[in-house]
Amino acid sequence: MRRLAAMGLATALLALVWLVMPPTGLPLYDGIGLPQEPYRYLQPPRGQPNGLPPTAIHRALIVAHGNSPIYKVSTGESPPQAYFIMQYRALKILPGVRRIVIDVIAVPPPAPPPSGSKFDGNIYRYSVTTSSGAPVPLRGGPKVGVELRGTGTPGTPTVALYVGGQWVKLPTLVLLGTNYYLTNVRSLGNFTLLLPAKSTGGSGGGIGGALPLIIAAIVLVLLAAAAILLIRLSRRRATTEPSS
Amino acid sequence: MRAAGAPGIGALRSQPAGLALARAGIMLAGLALALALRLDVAGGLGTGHLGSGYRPIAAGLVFALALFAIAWAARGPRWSGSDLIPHRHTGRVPRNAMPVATNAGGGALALAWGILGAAVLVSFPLGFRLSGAIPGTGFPFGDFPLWASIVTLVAVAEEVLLRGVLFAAVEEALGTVLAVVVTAAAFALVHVPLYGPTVLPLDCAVGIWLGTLRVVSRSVVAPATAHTLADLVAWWLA
Repeated sequence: MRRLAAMGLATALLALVWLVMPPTGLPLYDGIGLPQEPYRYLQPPRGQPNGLPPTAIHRALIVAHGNSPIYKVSTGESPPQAYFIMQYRALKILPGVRRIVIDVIAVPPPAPPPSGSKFDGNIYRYSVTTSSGAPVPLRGGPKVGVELRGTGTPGTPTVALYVGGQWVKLPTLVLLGTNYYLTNVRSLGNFTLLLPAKSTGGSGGGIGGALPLIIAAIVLVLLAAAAILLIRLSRRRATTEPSS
Repeated sequence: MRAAGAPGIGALRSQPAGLALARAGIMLAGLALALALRLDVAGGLGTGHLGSGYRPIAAGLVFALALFAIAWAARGPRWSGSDLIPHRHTGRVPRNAMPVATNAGGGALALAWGILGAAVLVSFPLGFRLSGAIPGTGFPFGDFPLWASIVTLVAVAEEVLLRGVLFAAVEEALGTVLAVVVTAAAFALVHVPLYGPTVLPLDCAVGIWLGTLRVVSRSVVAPATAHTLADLVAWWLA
């Protein structure tokens, strides 16, 4: 009976995490990862075949009591190419607004990349509007995130926002071990990833580049601790064994 | 019925808990090395992505073989024929025995637990998928057999190491609750480089759930079955 109760508790915990976590695409419990489809370009660069078109996000949300909900949504590729993430009350909801619409769509570049840089994938236009089409402003603070998938071109891209007629690079978080790049934003608009034009090979440092060192350090510490423990226990056993 | 050369239960109980803890530490270190190897083969290390084409398949195969090797090398003295559980005739198991059900009755029961477990694990993403909260179109059947065989191998290898050998070692040293917690944490951390830190809470919960299933079913077969089936369904849910 205790074991079944434990099973029930574990199932309740699992359900709770599923319900509390924003939907983030299908998380695998394990496996080798699903096949990654090639990056879907709106305008394939020279030498790239015309693949499937990129997908878009168009999602309507009900707003209760003037507070926008916590929400994460992605485009439909596998893996997704663009995410929109917002914390609770990330938007300034005007009185009377009951419904908002989130749109993320790949658009042609409004301007070429800055000199010394190149686009790493599509330009995505992010917008949140009311039912009547009026833009919904963001509150201050890091409450809205834009996450883009890179094309896999070597190098570490930076998220950039097109504002005031130019591309402005934003502080970018490289998501450890993945090909995703996240930034917090204070306004929405056209976002893309920018790579150094002459980038060749390697991750270019950042968190991803430190991963092998971190893993190696952890392994060494664990191995050393285990070895010390084994030696001590062997000595203790040798001293406590009765002499024959 | 005891395997030749294997120590009896009485002798096993006299093994110092510290040795079991040391074995657990070695297993965790080996797990980290196997993960680094997997990422390296997949092209994940230093490039920020997991590669494409057949590289993830090769990486999965290498990872699974590495886990089996670690499990075999660190299995400890408990892994013997007389310790296999659950026993059909008694339903009881030696405490801290390596839980692999091989007799027909125990094996079938563990399998049933596993299928039931898979249904629970799949029900949540299936619900989100059907409600449209999780986008996806599924994949065509063509590559499924190859993908499925590697996924099965990886899932079983993970369970044999985590909920099998590692669980037994930690349980002996620290008790059942901590065995569930430690193996769940290892399970969750293994997935972070592959799927990102956002899956950490979910994989922790899944790890606790699979650990509890192992305790309830008294067998590593149940979590291995649940884990494998839940993975395979992802092909159509993605």
